[in-house]
Amino acid sequence: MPSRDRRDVPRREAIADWLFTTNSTRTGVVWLAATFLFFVFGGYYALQMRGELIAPGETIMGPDRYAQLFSLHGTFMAFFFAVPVFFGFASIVVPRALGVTNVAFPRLNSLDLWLILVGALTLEVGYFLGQRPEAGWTSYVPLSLEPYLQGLGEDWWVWGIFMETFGTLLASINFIATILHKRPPTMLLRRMPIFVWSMLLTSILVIVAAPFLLTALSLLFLDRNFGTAFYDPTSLRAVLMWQDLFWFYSHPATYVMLLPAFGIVSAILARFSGRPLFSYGLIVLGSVGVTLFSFFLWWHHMFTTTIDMRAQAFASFNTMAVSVFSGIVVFTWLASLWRGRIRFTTPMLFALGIILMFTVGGANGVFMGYVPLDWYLHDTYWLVAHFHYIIFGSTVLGTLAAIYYWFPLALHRQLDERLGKWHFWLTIVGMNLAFFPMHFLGMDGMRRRVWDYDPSLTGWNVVITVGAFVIAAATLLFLANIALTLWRGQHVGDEVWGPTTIGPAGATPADAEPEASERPEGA
Amino acid sequence: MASIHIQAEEVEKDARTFAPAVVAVGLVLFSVVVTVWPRWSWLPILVVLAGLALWARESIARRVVVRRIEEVHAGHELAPWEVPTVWWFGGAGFAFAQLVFYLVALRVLHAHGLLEAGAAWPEGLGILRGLHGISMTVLMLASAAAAAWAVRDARSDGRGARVRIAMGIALALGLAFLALSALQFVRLAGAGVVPAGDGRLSAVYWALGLHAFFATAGVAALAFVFARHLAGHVPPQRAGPVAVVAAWWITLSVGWILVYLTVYLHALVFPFEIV
Repeated sequence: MPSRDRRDVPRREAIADWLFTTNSTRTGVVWLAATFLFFVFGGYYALQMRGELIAPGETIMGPDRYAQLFSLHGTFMAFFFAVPVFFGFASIVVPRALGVTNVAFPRLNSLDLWLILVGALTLEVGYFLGQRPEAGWTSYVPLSLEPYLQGLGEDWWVWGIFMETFGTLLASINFIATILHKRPPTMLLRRMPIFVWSMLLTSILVIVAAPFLLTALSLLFLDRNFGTAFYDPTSLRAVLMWQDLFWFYSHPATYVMLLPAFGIVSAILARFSGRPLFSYGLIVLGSVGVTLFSFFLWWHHMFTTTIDMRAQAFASFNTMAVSVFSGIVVFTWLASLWRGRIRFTTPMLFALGIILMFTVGGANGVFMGYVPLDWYLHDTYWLVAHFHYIIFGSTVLGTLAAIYYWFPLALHRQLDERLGKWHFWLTIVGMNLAFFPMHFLGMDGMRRRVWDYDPSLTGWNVVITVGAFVIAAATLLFLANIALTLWRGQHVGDEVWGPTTIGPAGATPADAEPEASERPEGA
Repeated sequence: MASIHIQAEEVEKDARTFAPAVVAVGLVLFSVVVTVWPRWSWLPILVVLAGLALWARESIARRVVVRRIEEVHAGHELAPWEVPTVWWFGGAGFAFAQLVFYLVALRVLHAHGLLEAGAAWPEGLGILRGLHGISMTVLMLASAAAAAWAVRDARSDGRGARVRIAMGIALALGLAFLALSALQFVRLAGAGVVPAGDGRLSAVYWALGLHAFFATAGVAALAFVFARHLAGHVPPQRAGPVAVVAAWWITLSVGWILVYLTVYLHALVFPFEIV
C-alpha cells in the first residue's frame, strides 16, 4: 500500500527555503544574487555621475548630490559587491570540491549572508530617507567627523560597512575551518583545486586585515556620537591613523577581490585550453606571494601624506615586488594557452578578457608605485583608471566568467552561449571605452571626485560616459539571459562543458600532468 | 531508526534556520536605534540575544541528532579521533582574529603618542596601578590555565567530573576578573578620568574596553558550555566546544598581557615613528 506519510510527498520550494537555510549551495546562490544586485545599484549611481560629467558645469545635479553618488557608488561596488562576491561562489563550489555536503558552520554561513544583506539595506534605506554618506567610500577624517558631516548618513555608512566586513570576517573563519579540516585525508594541500587554494588565501587575508577596518569604523562612530577624540583633528598623527587603519585592510581587500578570480581563470583555462595547465605549483606560488606581499603595501595609498620617506620606499619596493608574483601567475596562464586547442566558450572568453584587462591594470599600477610619479598622479583619473581596470577587469569579469561556468553546477541550467558572447563583447568594448580614456584625463591633471572640470577635457569625458552606458546595456543583456534561462532553460548535468577528469572546482594538480588523476571523493 | 535517517537527511543537507536572520536584523536595528533613539538601544540588543539563543537551540538539536546518526553508522561508540572537530579550526580562527584586535589597539595607543619612551600618560590612571592591576592579571592567567586544564581533561574523559571542575574554576575566576574590570571603570569615572575630548584617554579606554568586551563574550561562552556539561547534555569524548572556549580564553590572556604591559605598566615601547 503506498505510504501516506506526508514526508514522502515532495514539498514545493518556498522563498524561505532559500533565505533561511543551512544548505550552502542555496546560501551561495542567494549571496551571488544579492551581491550582483548591489553591483547594479553601484552601476546605477555611476550612470548618474557620468550623466553629470558628460559636460562641464552643472548638468543634472549639484556638487553635494555628486558627492553622495560617488560615495555610494564606491561603497556598493567595493564593499558590497567586490569583496563578498567570491565568498558566494565559495559557498557553492568549495564543499563540492572537497567532497563534503556542507561548509563547516552552516548557520554561520547564513549569518554572513544576512549581515551583508542588512548592511546594504542600511545604506539603501538611508539613501531613500535622504541620509547619505558624502565623504567617499574611503571616508577620510577629519571630513567624516561630526562637525563637518552632520546627519545620519555617515553613521549609517559606518554601520553598513561594519556589518559587511564583520560578515566577511566570519565567512573567512568558516572557509578556513572547512578547507583545513573537512577535506578528505587523500586531498593534501598540494592536491587541492586552485580555486580552493585561492579561497583559503583570501580567507587568511581577511582574517588578518579585517580587524583593522572594524576598529577604524568603531573609533569613527565613537568620535561622531560619544565625544571621544580618537581622530583628533589637531593631531596629524591621529588623523593619519584613519588612513593607516583603513588601508591596512583595504589594500589586502583588493587582493580579496583578485585572488579568487585567479582561481577561476585557472579552472576555466584548465577546462577549455585543450591542454593541461602549465604549472599548478607556479600559480599557487604566485598566489601565496601576492598574499604575503599584500600586507606590506598599504602605505602606497599615502605617498602624498607626511609619512616617513623610509615607509614610502618600503611600500614602493613591495609594490614592485608584488607585481612579480602576479606576473608569475599571468605568464603561467599564457603558457597554459600556448599551443592549446582553445574552445572559445563564454567562460573562456571572459577568462581571456581577465588576463588582458588585469595586465593593463597591473601595468598602470606600477607607474603609481613609483613615488615621484605618484605625487603627480595621485587622486587623478589615472588612479581611477587603474583601480577600474583591476577591479572591473578581474572581479567583475571574474564574477561573470564564474557565473557562466558554474551556472549548470548550481542551478542545472546553462546560460545561452550566443547571448553570452554578445554580453562579453559589449562588456569589453564598454569597459575600454569607459576606462582607457581616464589615463589621458589623469595625465592632463583632472582630479577624481570632481563635479566640474576644465572644458578642454570634455571630449574624453563624453567617451567615458558612452562607455558606461554600453556597460549598462551589456549588463541588461546578461540579466535577460539569466531570466530566459531560468524561465525556459533545459535541465543539464554537471558535464555540460564536456567530459572531465577533474572536480567541479577545476584545476587540480592533475591538470598539470598528462595523466588523469582520480576525482576528489564525492565531487 | 527510519525517523533518525529522515531527520539525518534534513539535518545534514538542508534545514531551515531563522537564527542568523534574527541576529542580523537585531544588529541593523541597533545601528539605526543607537543613532536616532540611543536610550532604546537595549531593545535591539535583546533581539540579537534572542537570535543567539535560537541559534544555540537549533545547533544543540542538530548535534544531538547528527551524533546519533554517526553512532548508528559507525556501529560503536566513537573515539575522540573519530569525531569531527571543525570546532578546533573555527576556535583557532576566532582566537586569531581576537589577537589581531589587540595589535590594532596598540596601534591606536601609538597614534596618541603613548608608546614612545617617556610618553606623557594621562593624569588619574594611577588607579590602574598597584594591587588592582596585579589582581586582574592573576585572575586572568589562572582562568586561562584552568581552561587549558579543562581541554586536556575533555580530550581524555569528556564526561568526567574533572572537566566540570576545571570549567567551573575558569568561570569563577573569569567572573571575578569581569567584576574587577567593571570596578576599575567605575573608579576611573568616579575620579573624572573619562575620554570625552581627550585622544589619549580615548585610546586607553579603547584598549581596556576592547579587552573587557571580549572577556564578557568569553565568560558567556564558558558559562554556556559549563551549563551544558552540568546538565549532562554533552556527548562523551566531545572536546570541541570546550576547545573553542579555551582557545578564546587563552587568547584573552595574551591580550591581557599586552594591555597590562602598556596601559598599566607603560612598559611596552615602540622605538620608531612612521606616521
